[in-house]
Amino acid sequence: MPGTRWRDEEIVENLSSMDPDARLRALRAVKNQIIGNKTKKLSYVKLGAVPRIVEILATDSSVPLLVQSAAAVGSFACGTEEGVRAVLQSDVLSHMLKILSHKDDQVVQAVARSLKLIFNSTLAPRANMFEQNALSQLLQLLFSKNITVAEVAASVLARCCETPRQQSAIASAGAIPRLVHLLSLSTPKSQEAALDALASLTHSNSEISLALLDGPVVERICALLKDRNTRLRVLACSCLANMSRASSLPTARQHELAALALPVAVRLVGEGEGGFHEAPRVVAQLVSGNADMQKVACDAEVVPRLAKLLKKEYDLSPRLLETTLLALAALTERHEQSRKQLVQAKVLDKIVQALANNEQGVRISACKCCLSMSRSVKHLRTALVDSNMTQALLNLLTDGSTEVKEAAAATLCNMVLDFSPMKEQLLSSGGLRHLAVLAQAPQYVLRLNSMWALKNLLYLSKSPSKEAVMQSLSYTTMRQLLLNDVEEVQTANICGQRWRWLRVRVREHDKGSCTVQELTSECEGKETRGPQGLHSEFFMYGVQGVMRLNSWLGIYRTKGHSQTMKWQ
Amino acid sequence: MGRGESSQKKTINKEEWEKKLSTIKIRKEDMNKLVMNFLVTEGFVEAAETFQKESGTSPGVDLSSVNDRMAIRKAVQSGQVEDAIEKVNDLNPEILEDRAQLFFHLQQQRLIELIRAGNVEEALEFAQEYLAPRGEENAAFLEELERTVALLAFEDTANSPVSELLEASQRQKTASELNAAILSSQCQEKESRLPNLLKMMLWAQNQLDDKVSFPKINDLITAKLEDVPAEG
Repeated sequence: MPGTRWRDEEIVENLSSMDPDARLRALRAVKNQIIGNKTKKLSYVKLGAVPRIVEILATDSSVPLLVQSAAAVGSFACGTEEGVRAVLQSDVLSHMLKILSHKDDQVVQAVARSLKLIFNSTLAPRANMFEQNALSQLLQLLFSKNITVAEVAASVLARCCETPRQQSAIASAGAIPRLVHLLSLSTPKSQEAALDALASLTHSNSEISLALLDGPVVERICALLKDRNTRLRVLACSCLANMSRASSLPTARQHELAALALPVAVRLVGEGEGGFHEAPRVVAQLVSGNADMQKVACDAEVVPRLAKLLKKEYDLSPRLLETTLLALAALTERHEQSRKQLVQAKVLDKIVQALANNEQGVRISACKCCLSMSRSVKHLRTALVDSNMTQALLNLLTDGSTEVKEAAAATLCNMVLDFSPMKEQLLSSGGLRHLAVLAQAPQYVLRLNSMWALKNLLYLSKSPSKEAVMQSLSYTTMRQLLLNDVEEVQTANICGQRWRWLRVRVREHDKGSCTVQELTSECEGKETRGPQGLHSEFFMYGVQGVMRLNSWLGIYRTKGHSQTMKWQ
Repeated sequence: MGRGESSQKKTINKEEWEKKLSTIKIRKEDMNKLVMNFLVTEGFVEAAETFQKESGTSPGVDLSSVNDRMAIRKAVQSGQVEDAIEKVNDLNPEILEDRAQLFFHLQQQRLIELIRAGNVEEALEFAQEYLAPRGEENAAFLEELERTVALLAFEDTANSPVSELLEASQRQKTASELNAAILSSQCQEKESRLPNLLKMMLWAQNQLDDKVSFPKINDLITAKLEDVPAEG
């Protein structure tokens, strides 16, 4: 506004002006200042602009005012967490849903776009879209004659597929045939939105995936693998990856689809403006748990491509960083050549840096990468030691997030195997104490992973280490762990091994309450009672525990296979 | 190339070449799509409308959005950056939302225009309010910002080391970047396919020329087949 430049405070005041023209001018001014500008968003949030704009959206009826306020709300919801929170707190969703049935197309389009931006944030409550008639309203938009509106509706639906229940609700509301129709139009924009929704609907949903697998839509999606538009290729790969992983025993057709998608996905890594974060994710999905696919991807030189992404941190979004690390973790899971390529690409230091990233997801993926790499004894003893990974992982044991601690403890399981030089590093830098603390955590997986790491760490270790663990853990806690975790022992076989051994140690500590014979007979006795599977397991671990105890007592040395590498 | 090899270079005369060319069938719809792609990407809306009527080829986008795109490009080219930003945000508010670099370049262009108009005070205020925070986030932006603000330090900007910022080419650069972003938001390619095809044709001709003498196309406007040079 040349000449009549308002101050930001005046603009906010004018948002509630009695004069509709002044309101509109203020709205446009706010909107044009905040789009793309995080600093301005934050400052307008602080000035209290959001509730005033929502007020316009809720009460005004003029088309330009509704269009501009919807666009402004969408922009606030995009880019900053504070903005999203301010928008969600203002209860704007209910007003927006009301206006979705407005007779003016422009209004509907603006509101739908804004909804899409709100739902791009993970903070937006998906459940709202499944209450009352919200979903049927969205479906109406999806069937709108205005293709732009239909596209935006498809994009909103794509963001509302977080649980199998949500996916099924959308599918049973009849969205799929319409999405398939949008996919068949010649406009790339509608193809993209439809494919986005189909990819989200089939994600980890075998029912929907298998239903689509039988239809003619698969051919269309396969054809899009060759489209010139990179975004369409990424989404087509994502759909096919979902469908190919939909059954535990994939059919020949599913193998075929995965094999079609993989080379395309590999080539997409690092393409597009700043790279699509979906491409590495799709690669990860296609190769995880499948050594053959890991080999195919590795032969297609995907590791150097991903490594190149890691090296250009300048425009690497946290999400892309996370999926890149995930892909590297999946590729190096079982395939030694990929691990070699990763070491040769000289990005281990980037992975170690990522262990200290601000984003929780990045830290977890970096842990997974280290875990996969640690399965190679050769690299464990060379490149991984040199990378200072141990200290970075140790730091994560006191991380604020439980998931990160879980992942770090899981990774340390392999780092502390007897042949690993990191074992000493960990022992000397107080790793034992941290692990012992985590072994008492309320979360089962965290307890399990830390106990596992402790077990590997204590293998063939000297008594002072064992004493140190027992001091931190205390015999009382150990007893509690043993007694309370029995349920979980049934499902986590490996866990039992440790519990049993510890049980012996507890008994031993109690002096005279249990001898080797007593323990053996106790386990045998248990086998005769109760469910078969559980108690034969009890017996097994009891015996192993006895062997452990014997070696502890120096009766005879036995090199049992008490260390276990972590594979999950 | 060994001695005597050049005489082994095969020759295809014009008649033979035309015969070969005529065996290749190119679907008319594909040719039409190519033309439409050119018209839409380059922004010839009226021609595209007429062509759609006459050939029945779908433009693949809403032609009115092409008009908007052209108006936005023109606004930047004529220094009306703020106007261009408002128009882009009306066209699709998502375009500037997640393209930090483009957003920065537009703000930089606004600053350049303020400096060009001699509004020193306003320029400084603007740089501080809109550009400085971006520079804090990104070292490359900071460098560009410093270069731009340097314009204020020279009385005779035309002979300063940063004079190129005031040239028309700078506006053109910003306009092209914005145009490409709008196209990409509509799932369209930045460039029309025709120039690329021509480049490929020239490349293929050169490749073939190493082995065979044949009637080439040198003049792309008339697409006339040149005569094969006489042997010898």
